Amino acid sequence: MKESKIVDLVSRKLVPYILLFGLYLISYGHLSPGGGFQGGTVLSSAILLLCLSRGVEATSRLFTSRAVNALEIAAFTLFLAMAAAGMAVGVSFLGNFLPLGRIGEVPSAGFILFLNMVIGLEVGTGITLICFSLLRET
Amino acid sequence: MSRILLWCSAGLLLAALGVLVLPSVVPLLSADETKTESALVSGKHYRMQDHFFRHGVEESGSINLVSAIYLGYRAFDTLGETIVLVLSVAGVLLFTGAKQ
Amino acid sequence: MAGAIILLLVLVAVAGLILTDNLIKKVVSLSILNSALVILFVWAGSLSGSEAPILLPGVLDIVDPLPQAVMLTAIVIGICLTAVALAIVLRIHKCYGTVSRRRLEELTKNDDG
Repeated sequence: MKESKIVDLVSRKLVPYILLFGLYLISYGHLSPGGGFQGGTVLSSAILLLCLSRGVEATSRLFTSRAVNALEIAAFTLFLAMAAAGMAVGVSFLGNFLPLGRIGEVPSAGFILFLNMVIGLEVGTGITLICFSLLRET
Repeated sequence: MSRILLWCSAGLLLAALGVLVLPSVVPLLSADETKTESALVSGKHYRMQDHFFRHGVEESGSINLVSAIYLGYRAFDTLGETIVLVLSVAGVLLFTGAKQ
Repeated sequence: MAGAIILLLVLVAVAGLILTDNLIKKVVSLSILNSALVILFVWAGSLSGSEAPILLPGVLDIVDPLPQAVMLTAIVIGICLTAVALAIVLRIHKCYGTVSRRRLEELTKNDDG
């Protein structure tokens, strides 16, 4: 893959802002259109931009396959733990047991914010792993 | 001979799609973008849409009703979907020769 | 009007699935079919209201939010299906050296099974 300096420079400057926008979509998922899945895909598209402009080898030295895999499995286990904690406290499986704050602020809505974060991490890292495996050239 | 088989299977696929989709699409095509009863004025039936409009915010705490549905009322489907995602990542890693 | 667009997308996807020779184009046609059905369900739910289902103060007439929540799951499962299908096509290319359906039919005529 031939490298181009302009694409390389612009994508390196843009990636933090795309990551920030993905985090905004995830954390405001219960107040405006967005949520876990949408923000997770935006997060993975930032890493995919780096992959396309520098090659998979250089990007997977920055975001190693092992770390991304571990993050995905941790996020999935955290989702299951949150669901089981609902059963342990006494409401139901996947019942909402955290306190609802003031409606309309970010730290409200019980465990919906937490679940959004966990799902966003999981979807982001999952799609990143898929793209790493499909774009490898060996 | 295989072209005839191909066209027969194409017709079968279209017929199956039509049987599944047409009974729910044809009434909509004759509706032609006029609104059915909205969430405010429908007094005859208590639809699920009315329930989400009236009690959605106080039961789940988020003003985004779509998030309230797929993380509050129906979080089990979201759990199944994350399982499908993890399995598909495992499938892609299997088919492209992961070293680990 | 929206129904005509959805019908057009479904026909394009099914025609592309059958009439093309390249395996990757068949996978893309499956993805187009998935998108067309998602649009169908969301449009069918949008006929009973006029505003987005986010209850900011002053919103009175909302669209049905249930098909949108269900279609989120459907979109993600479509992505997973497309990813696994593309991985299989990559493996086929690595094994046989081609992604053309006719050429693969000739190459696998003498395989057992």
